[in-house]
Formats: sequence, C-alpha cells, structure tokens
Amino acid sequence: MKTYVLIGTPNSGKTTFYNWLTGSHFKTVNYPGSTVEYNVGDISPDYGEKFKFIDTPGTYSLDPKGPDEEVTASVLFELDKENKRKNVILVVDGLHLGRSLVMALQLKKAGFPFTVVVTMHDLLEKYKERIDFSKLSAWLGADVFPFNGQTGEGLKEIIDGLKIKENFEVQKLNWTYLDQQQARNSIRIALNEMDRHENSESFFKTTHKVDAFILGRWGYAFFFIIMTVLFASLFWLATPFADGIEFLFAKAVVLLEAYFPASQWRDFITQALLSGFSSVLVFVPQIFLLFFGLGVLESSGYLPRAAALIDHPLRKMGLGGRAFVPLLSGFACAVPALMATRNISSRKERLLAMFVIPLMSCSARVPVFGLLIAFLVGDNVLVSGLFMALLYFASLLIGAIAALILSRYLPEGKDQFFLMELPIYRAPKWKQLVIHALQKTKSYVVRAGPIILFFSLVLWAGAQFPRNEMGHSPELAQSYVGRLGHLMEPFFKPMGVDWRVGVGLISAFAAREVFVSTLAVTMKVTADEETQPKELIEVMKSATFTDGSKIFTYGSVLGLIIFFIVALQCMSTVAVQIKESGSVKLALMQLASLNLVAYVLAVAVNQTYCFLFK
Amino acid sequence: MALEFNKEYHIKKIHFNEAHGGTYARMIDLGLMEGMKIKIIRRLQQQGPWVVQADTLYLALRDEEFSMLELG
Repeated sequence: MKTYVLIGTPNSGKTTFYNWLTGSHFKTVNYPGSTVEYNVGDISPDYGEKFKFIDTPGTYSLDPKGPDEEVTASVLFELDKENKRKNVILVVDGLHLGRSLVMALQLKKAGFPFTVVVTMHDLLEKYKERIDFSKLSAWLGADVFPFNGQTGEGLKEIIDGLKIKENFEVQKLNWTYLDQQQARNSIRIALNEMDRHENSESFFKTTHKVDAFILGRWGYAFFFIIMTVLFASLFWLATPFADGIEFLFAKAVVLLEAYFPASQWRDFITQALLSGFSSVLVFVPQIFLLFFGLGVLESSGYLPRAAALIDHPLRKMGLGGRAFVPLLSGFACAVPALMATRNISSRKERLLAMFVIPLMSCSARVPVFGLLIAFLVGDNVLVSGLFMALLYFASLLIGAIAALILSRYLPEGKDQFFLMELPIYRAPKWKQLVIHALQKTKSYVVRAGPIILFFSLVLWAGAQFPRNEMGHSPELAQSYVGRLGHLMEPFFKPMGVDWRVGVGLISAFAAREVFVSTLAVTMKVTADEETQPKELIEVMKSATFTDGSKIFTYGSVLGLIIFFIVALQCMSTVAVQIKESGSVKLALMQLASLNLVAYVLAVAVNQTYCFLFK
Repeated sequence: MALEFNKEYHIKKIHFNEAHGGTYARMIDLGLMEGMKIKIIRRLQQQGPWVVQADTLYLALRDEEFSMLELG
C-alpha cells in the first residue's frame, strides 16, 4: 500500500485535511518507545484507491527542537515496513505562504519528493488573495493543490494527482540560520515574481478588532465567563439527554420484568448488565459536550489567547501559558493532557504541569460529581450547573496551590520559552467538531465502558455469593463484597462513610466512574431504581450506620467530593506519567502523595462538619 | 528608546545568548528575521506578554523574549 506522511506547521489545517482524506477512520498509535502519538489511517473508501496516510505532530522545522518534532522527523526519515521511503504531503497555510514554504525548501534539501497542499482556500478567496499555483509548482518542482477545509473542495483533484516515487535517497538535514535567511529571501523573491504579496493587514483586520476586546481590559472577565459557561453547560445542556437515556433504560427494565418470570438470570440482566450499561451511557452527553466545547475554543482561535492571558498568573506558580492547554485538556482526560506537555520547553515547568494535571477534574469524575452534587442541591439544574463550575475552579485552585508548593523544591529549568502564535479568528468547522467530539466520546465508552461493566458484574456477583443455607442470595453484609468492605471499614470511618462507600472508593481505582455503579450495588439499588437517580439519592439519604446515624451528611459528601478532586485513582495516568517523566519514582511519589492528601482532606472536612454541627 | 504601540519598526537584531538558545532557535523557526518589519499591537494586562505582528506572524511574547528583539 502506498504510504504518505503529512507534515505541516501547527494550525496549518493539516488534521482537517487528514480527516477529509480518511473520512475520520483512523487509529491513533504511539511512536515506538515513546508516548508521542500520531494518527495512521487508510483513505476513505469513497475514493477507491489504496493509500495510507500518517498524520504527524505539527512542526515548524525538519530540524527538531522537541519530542513532538523529533517524532515527525523520525517518521519522515525512517523506512517503512517494506524498507521503502515514504512520500510526503506538505500542508501549508495559504495565508502564511511565505513562512510555510521554508519547510518545502527543507524537504528539497533533504531529497524528499513531495506534494504541496495549500489550505485555507476559503479564506484566500474571502480576502481576495491570489496564488498562482502553476508558477508555484514550477518554482518548487512539486505538485501544488488548493484545498478548502470547510467544504472539502479540491480533495478529489489532490487524490487523483498523488504520485508515488520509490527508491530515492535522502540525507539528514543540517539547517543553519544562514540557510533559513537564504530560504526566506528566495521565497520572497519567488513570490514577488509570482505577483503574490501577502496582505496581512486585510486578514488581521477583524482579528485585531476582536482582540481589542478579548485581550483588552475585559480579557480576564471574558476568560472567566467562557470557562464558567463551558463547565456549567455540562449540566445545563446535558441533563435532558441524560434523562432520556435513563428513561430508555428504565423502560427496558420494566419490559423485561413484565415479560420474563423472576429468576437469577433476569436479576443478572436487570441488576448487573443493564445497570452497568446505564452507568456508562448516562454520562455520554456530558462527555460529548466537554470535548465539543474544548474543540470550539480551539478551532475558533481562542485557546492560544487564553494561554497568553493566563501566562503571567501561571508563572507566579512556576508554570506558564504553554501549560494552559495541557491543563485544560486535563479536564477531559489526564492521559492526552500529559502527552500535550511535550510542547513545554522547560523541564521544571513540564514536571510541574505533569504533577498538577491529574488534579484537573477529568471527565471520569463527572459521573461521581453529578451524583454527589444532586445529593447536596437536589434537582435544581441552575444551582447544580454553578456548583459543577465551582468544583472545576476548586480543582484549579488546588492545582495552583500544589504547583506553588512544588515549584519551591524543583531545580530551575533552563530556557523556557512561551512564543505563542495567535491564529486569526475563524468560524468553527461544526461538522468536523461534532465528528471529533463523537470520536473522543466513543473512545471514552470503548476505554471505560468494559472496565465499568466488568466491575459492575463482579460486584453484583460478589453481592450474590456465597449462597445461604436455603440456596438464596445472602444478606449484603454476609456476601463477599460485604465481608471485604467490613475489613476496610476502620480506614474509611474517619471520612464519615461506611464499608459500602469504602468498596466504591476502592473500585474507583479501576475507573473513577465505577464508584457510582458500585454504590448502586452496595446500597442494593436495583437496576430500575438506579436508572432513576432520585431513587438512588433517596437510598443515600436514608442510609445509616448500625447506630442509626446518617452516613451521607453534608460533611461526608463534601469530604467525598474533595477526595475525588485530589485523589489520583487512574492507573493509565500513572503509566503515562512514568513514560513521560521517565521516572518511576516520581510517578509513585505523585500517586502516594495525592492519595494521602485526598484522604487527609476528606477526613478533615468531615471531622470539621461533625465538630461544628453534631 | 520608548516604543509605541501600532507603530512600524524593523528588527535590527535578534540577540542570542547561550541561556536562551532554544528561544532564539524557535524565533527563527517561527519566521522572525533581522530586517523584518514589526508592529507592537498591545501588552496584556498585569505585565503579561507583548502581542506583536511581523509580516503574517501574529505572536505573543514574554518580556524577556521581547527584549531579545532589538528594534529600530
């Protein structure tokens, strides 16, 4: 199969082009020996041909300056499985042609045959910018094609025009400042001869006007409002959809119970299987919205500006603006967020960001917070949404305090740069954003779903056995789950919770979301009840210790929330942390310290509540 | 020299020192070159980064990065 490597600068429209090429059917793989990711996908079946495309991390040069760029260079220079060189598609931003073509000259110098795809064709037309593609092609000695990322216009011509060249030699690139200067000069002369003058004033006009507001006096207020709306809308917008999913599962349980006689199998399906599925799927709307919202901020061009705004405050904590995007990604999932720290040049700043990222409230915490917030404030969607936003800000605050403390002990890093390119504002590509958010949501369901389902089934079985003398299910306290929980109860008691919640907390180390389904099992909430959260919350409200005192009080529930904000329970995060930091010791220290602090804070909150109100 | 916003300058020199070798290399990769026209658009609040436009490059730079550019 013919393989092409796609390379281009960040924000060049490379991944949008890649999504059009592959029809978004691709898999993300790790570069061997590292956690740096790139995408590999076959051409969309609509086009018949058999091509494979590799989408590499964005790079400014073929002479790598960081882990991301090293992967791009390695993918480019190494031979494929059939010991052949890969052909290259260079994706360049049509609005920044002068700068982007430097990489074309680097490819030429290294000896690569390549095709150039000029993106942002829609914007070129909007700003009446003209590129003479045939002259450019003649000058570069390579095919040059225009492409419109909004509509996909030009894709067929590109695919039809792709040529493959085999058996060519390349040499490692040695690119000096002088080479760069000569390249820029020759590009300027060539573009002048093509009568191409990049009129930056025209396409920056709107951007400057918007920036006067976004980066001006009201910059911080605007930043605060955007972040609040993003996180509060996870509740405001997702609730009707989550209710719909719950309704469907409740109906399924009612139907099964109506048509099938009572049996262990029926209980297994309604109480274990459907309960497990329900606890996975009910949070899909919130997770979709989170990824969609982050996508809107990124594609509109706001994220780099937010990073610039927040750079100065973050520096006071030993971090910097470049840590902002990884930290924000941490609200979706810590694993890709840790990988995103690769764009931080300073080792100290990167280690700090990597330590703080697991404190950002990831999507796995959403189900847990959803349940605990509903317990505290009832079904008032407005208050619940604001409470959720408050929790996100609380996780930011705790992260800031942790960074502030840690930065005192880490040695100073060398040469940390910010240098953030601010793209022009663009209308988000809605279709692409929906596809992207759906892919991420699917990835969540595929990754977390089986774990949650497995634990739901194991816990259900653990609550059903050993059978009593009559051959029936035992009382929960006598079941395997109950016995294990009782063993651990002294440890959880200071947090104000009993063994049933303790089992939930332990199970959350498999996946945080499992806490909710585990609680449903240990609280003996049946599937149809669990699909109506009010019932689960009612069970929580009436749950008592053996002495009759309430288990779920404001103190113990707030303590649980704090515990979930701080605790590092995700083993995938620990594994990636080891790879990215290159230190098992550091990752284990992080695991131990965050969980210890989480436990101490939860105990402190509950004990303070007991001291004040009991 | 007191610098003014929205006034066009030229980059006379990009100062290199060992401690900021990475910053210097990144500036070059981004496309900042000596002799290039540059305009200071604004400085973000609380002594935050400088926002500059050089050709089609629109960039936020920290104070120490900005001071590597000698403008004239």
